[in-house]
Amino acid sequence: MPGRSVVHVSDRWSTDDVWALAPDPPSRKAALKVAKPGSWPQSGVITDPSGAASAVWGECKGSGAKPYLAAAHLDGDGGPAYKCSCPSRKIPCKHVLALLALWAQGTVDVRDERPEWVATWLTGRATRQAKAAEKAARPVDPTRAEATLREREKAVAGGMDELRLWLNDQIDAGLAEAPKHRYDHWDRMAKRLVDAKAGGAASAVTELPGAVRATGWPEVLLERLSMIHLLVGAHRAGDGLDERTRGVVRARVGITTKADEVLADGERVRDTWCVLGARNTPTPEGDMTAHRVWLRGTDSGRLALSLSFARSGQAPRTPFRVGTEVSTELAFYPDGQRVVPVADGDTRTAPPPRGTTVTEALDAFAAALAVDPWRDTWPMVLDRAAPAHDGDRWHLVDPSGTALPLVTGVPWRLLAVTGGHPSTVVAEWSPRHGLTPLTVWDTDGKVDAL
Amino acid sequence: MTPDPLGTTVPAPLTPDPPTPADSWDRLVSTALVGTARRAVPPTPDLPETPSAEGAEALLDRAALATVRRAAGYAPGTAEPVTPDPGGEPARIEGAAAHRLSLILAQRPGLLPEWLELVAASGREVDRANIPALLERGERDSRLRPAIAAAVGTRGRWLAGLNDRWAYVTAETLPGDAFVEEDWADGGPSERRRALAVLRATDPDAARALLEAEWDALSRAEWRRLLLDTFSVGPVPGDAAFLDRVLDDKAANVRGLALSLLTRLPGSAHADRLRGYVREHARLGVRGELVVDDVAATRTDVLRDLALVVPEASRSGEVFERTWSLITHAPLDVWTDLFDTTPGEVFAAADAAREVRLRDAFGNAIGLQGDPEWARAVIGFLGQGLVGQLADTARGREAVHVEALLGVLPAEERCAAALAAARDRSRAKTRDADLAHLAQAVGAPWNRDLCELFLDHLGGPAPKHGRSPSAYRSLCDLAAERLRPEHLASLPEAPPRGGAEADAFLRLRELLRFRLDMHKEL
Repeated sequence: MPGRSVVHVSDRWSTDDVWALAPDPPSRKAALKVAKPGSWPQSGVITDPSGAASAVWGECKGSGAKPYLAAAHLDGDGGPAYKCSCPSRKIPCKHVLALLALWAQGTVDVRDERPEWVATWLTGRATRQAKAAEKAARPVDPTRAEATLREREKAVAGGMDELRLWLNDQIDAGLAEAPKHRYDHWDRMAKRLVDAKAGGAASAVTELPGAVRATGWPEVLLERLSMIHLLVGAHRAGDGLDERTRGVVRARVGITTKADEVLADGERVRDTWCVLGARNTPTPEGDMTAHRVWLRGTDSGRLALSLSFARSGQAPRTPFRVGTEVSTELAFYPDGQRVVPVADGDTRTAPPPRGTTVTEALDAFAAALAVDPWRDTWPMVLDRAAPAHDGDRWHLVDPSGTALPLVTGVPWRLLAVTGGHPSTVVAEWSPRHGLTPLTVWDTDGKVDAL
Repeated sequence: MTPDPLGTTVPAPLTPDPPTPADSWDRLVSTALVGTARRAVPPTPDLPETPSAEGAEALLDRAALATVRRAAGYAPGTAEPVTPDPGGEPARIEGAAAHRLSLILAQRPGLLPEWLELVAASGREVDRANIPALLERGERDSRLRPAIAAAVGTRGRWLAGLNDRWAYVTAETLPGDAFVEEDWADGGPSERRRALAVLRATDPDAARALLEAEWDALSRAEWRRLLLDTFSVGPVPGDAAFLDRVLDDKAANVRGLALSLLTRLPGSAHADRLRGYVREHARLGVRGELVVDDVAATRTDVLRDLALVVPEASRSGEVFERTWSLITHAPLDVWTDLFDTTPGEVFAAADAAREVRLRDAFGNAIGLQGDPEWARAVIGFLGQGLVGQLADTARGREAVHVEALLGVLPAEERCAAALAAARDRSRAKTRDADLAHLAQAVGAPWNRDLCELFLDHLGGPAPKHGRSPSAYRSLCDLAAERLRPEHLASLPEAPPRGGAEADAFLRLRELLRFRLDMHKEL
């Protein structure tokens, strides 16, 4: 599901706007209970010089002696921000939602005076935003930055060396005893890699105990170990690699590239980008949601991946809506695939994207593996794909009868939308698990995010 | 994830079809298990050269190569696509209305009947993406099935064909359906039901003839009940003889269904027999009170006609159950004939018997037989006691089932009766509770005067006496469904009462606003 676009209107919102912010239905229900003027002995709206609402604050009577202090900053850079003194981890929490609902109903008045805690919070936000803007504008001291970078590279290289020896030890000793290893066997190596600032490689090691629990574990474990081994070797090869593969390796090892670096130095491609499909998946640590959006340039044919993260239970923000196309410039990460938009583009509804046969899509996947052999998700745009069932599991089949199996049980929504008629379908392919349909265009060309 | 109706469980990981000969990979795996310290890396002639020649690194090099080759060389299979839905392109709801249906399904299932009614009135079908969730809802709530079957259209029926649990969709008749001989002759239980129901609507006697011819061959009681249930829409006099026969069915719920259908045919021989039993058992006592003698356990003819089982040993509760059943099912006209009097007088005599259950049995009979003349008479008799009866029912005490009596009357009359009862100020001490009970008992829809009464009460200050937060809350919840959404404008914006009552009031406002939007969209 695409996240709701950021509300920029700083006029008073409708109640619907407010409820759309609720991270989940229970929050909304809980907020409804608090959304009555009687629970808010103190509240107010702070306006900007033009008289538009800039922030809303309130003190909510809770069960304890101290009131909960809730506030929403509506017109800050980067969209609305929320604060509340309650222990809830949801953002916004029920108190903020309730406060905004009351405001939307017109029961919170504009007040000139504001309590100290509101003033402190807003000033703090303003200062941080100003600092961030200043930092972005200020040129970095090149010598110092380079020294930091060198130190980091050294740390990573040290970690990767240890990883290489550790992998060889596992294979020398044999994997037969692997199921008997306790977590700390794997954890020690993973922790060492975290210390060496190679978080990506650490995650790969963290996932190994899961491989040991899988059916046919010796094969799965050897596959995983060999792919980590390949990563170690590729990292050592360094400049000897093709530029994009080097970008992939660095990203997979865990050497992050910041978005502003990408904006400053990354390859830029201007095109009309068709938003093919989107998918939310939990991150390996489980506390965050990764939102993947696949884009394809209409003229360049270039594939791009927009990746954003949000805390679990929160809707990730993305400027891309499935089924639209955006004319804009994208800046590519060194892996040649992940992107950040350079500027807000001009968005309009798009016709169904041009699709391919299953065989062509598999060829494209194989070519993508040549650049990034660790990849296990790849978008496929299948032309005239129809749901099929072979008595065992569901598939998508192209007009030639070539079929790929689906990950899910029965694709009810896809069936309902298409009626079994061949349609353009965007799906993510994983050779290990199968296809996950993301988007379908029905016979009228209407898009549905599955 | 919806469980898979086709019997497959969560799919196992793919077993890829490796281009690398399996034995080479297998040798690598087995060497890895033993360890390269103890066993040399096996030759893998089918793999290209790798940098290291021996040891752990050589094994890992080759395993990585095989792994990537396998992923890149995935060989797809073949499969036959499903037979697509041949249906046309009917008008469907879209945009905001489709989004609202998703909201209702996820958060406010109580509004689904109203929403489905609005969609039906608009002559459109639901958006396709919502069809699976709607069909799933119908699995759990059989009352919604006819409306859901109509709203999901041909696409929904096509989809239901892929899932056994959604077969109910094909059992419901739709406007414009025609009887299809093959569906009756060769169809599954739900198709047969639909065919029979379609024929029943145009030619009830022909439908009965079909069912009667097939009856003895229907081995499962569930099928017999399912098909006999099509008679519920207006049993016709010609059904009486067949239904009388069904009273001897092996299954209790089939017998019960036949009895309830027969009760709606006062001209039948069965009805006449029940009248006869009443004459045998009923008389007036010395004080003018009604006396109904117990129906003896040996009266198998009476028991059979009332679809009751012959008791093994008599218990006091069962004895009255027989009397209750006789009063419930015997045509009410027998009482006025027998005593040559009015319904009101008969009820007065039952009241004078000081046996509440006797009186309540009459209330039950009136509701079941849908007799407005009797309902009026009893409501008149109860007068100001009406609200008291409701309060007793709510407390679980024996009382006349006022809701059933009101249900028999036309809407305007029903509302007028409730309004008159609500205006009785002698019960100020239970004001909130009384109004909540009346709101429940009067049923839908509410007329204007009744709406105004409830709006005044909900939006007005709490009464000095008779304030009950829980009753106010149930009144709010009921009003949220039964008021017209436009009434939102007549309610104050701020809750008139505090605490839990304020929550209920805000919820009421929110739901009315939601319904208002819903009506605008459809």
